[in-house]
Amino acid sequence: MAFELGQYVPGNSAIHRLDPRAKLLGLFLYGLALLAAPTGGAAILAGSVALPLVLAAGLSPSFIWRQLRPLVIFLALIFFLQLVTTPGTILMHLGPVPLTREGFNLGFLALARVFFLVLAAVLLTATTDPLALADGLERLLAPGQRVGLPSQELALMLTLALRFVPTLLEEAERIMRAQIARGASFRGLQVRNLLPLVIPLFVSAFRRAEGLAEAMEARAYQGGKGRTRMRELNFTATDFLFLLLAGALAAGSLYYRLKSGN
Amino acid sequence: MEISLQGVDFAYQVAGRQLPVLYNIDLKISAGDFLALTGAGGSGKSTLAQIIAGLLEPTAGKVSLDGRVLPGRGKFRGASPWSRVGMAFQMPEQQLFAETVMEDVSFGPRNMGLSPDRVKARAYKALEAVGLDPETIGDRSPFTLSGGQRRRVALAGILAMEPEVLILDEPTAGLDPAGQELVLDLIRDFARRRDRAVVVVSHNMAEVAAMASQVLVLHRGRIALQGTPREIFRQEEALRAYGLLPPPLTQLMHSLRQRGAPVPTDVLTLDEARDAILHWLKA
Repeated sequence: MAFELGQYVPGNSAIHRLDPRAKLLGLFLYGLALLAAPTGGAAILAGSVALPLVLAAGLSPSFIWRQLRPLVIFLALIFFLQLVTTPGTILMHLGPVPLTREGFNLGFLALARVFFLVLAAVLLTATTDPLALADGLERLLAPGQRVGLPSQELALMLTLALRFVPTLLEEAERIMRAQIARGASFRGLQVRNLLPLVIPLFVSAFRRAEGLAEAMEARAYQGGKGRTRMRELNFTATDFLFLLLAGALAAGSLYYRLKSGN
Repeated sequence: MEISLQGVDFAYQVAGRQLPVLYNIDLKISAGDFLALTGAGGSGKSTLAQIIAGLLEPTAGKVSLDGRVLPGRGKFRGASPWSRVGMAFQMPEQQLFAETVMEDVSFGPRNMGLSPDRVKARAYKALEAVGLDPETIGDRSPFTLSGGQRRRVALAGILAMEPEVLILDEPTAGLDPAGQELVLDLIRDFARRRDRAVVVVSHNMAEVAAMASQVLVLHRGRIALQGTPREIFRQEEALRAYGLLPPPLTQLMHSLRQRGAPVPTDVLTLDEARDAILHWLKA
């Protein structure tokens, strides 16, 4: 059982060292640029700026492929739906369904958008320690506290959830092996077959959650104001430069869209 | 039956990297054997137990049952030669899932494709073997039982498959002394028949001394020592180097000897120790 989507790959590249806040905002701006791109070509042009970053982060093509592989069907579906549902100049027929030039263009655009967005998200999670990511998110959401957004609690929940993903996966694997030792089969995906795995997993997750809550209370944990942190985030000139470039990309893409009048 | 491992290496895959755990393990388990796998934490004993049980496949080397090289359990569907090998994981009570004790114990035999009557008969027999009354406890939810009872229900679930080789990983961990004694008794009971074999993973040397006929000490993924309990416990220095301590009785004899008493150091039981000490005092 290999669960790899969103996996962190420790490293010390320039991308790894960027402030998580810069990376989160950068991803947002990059997404904006992709959404603003009016054509498939423009989306590819804007999207491909992420490629040198993937290389700079030292991620191997095989790693990227393993991350994206589960999404191939989803991507194909997006393309196909756009293709068959868009009216316009008919190019050819697929059985009774007319395929249009506009359909091809839109399908292509949607495909490019989603593909590059996922690629950038993979780049973010692969180069950022999950705890740093949650930290960055907390800081970005902090202004929301004034309007009652519990940013600290949200970040804590996110941190804990991320923290327990590998633990629970390991546990799931162990329980699976134990049930296989009793002749269980996990090949079919019927719910009945999954009960011997899911029930013990839930029982143990609740027990862990309770234990963790008690351990935190025993150490007088109280969230909120005045908490200091072990790793201070440090926004450097490089982070500014990175954001500036991402902002320029988004602005360029928006400008191109307005000029092309779509 | 006989399980044999030849040149077995094993490495876990962690984040695309190899984390080697076992190196070049050769071993053979035949009917009548009672093997204890021991070693400090992280020495690879749990991993080795799972390889012997066919639950993990070695990265290199061969695992064979009765001379036939077999792939791991995951490769089989339904009845497989591996169902003759039973394995109890650490804290096996954490795998209980069914609504009633009876249902849970029946899970294994049912997966073997036995008829409902035979499944029931085996579940009854297994519960009785672990000292629980199927009539009173069979309809209860396993989650309402005490820790020791849950452990025994989990072990019954494995015994109900009537394995010829039973592999147990730290079977007494986390139980109170009475619970530990019950579990050790049922393991001894299982081992009484000559056509059966037992492999126990444990770092409790007193337990190992009391039961095993062969001891295998792992150190950083390699077999460091192998022999009868007497042969192993004599080597106190080596054991300490591998992060282990001989059982308390053996330690006592070692200290006496260091203070000049001519007593043997390879005693296993309380009676032997008493006789040896009395013999020395009278002389």
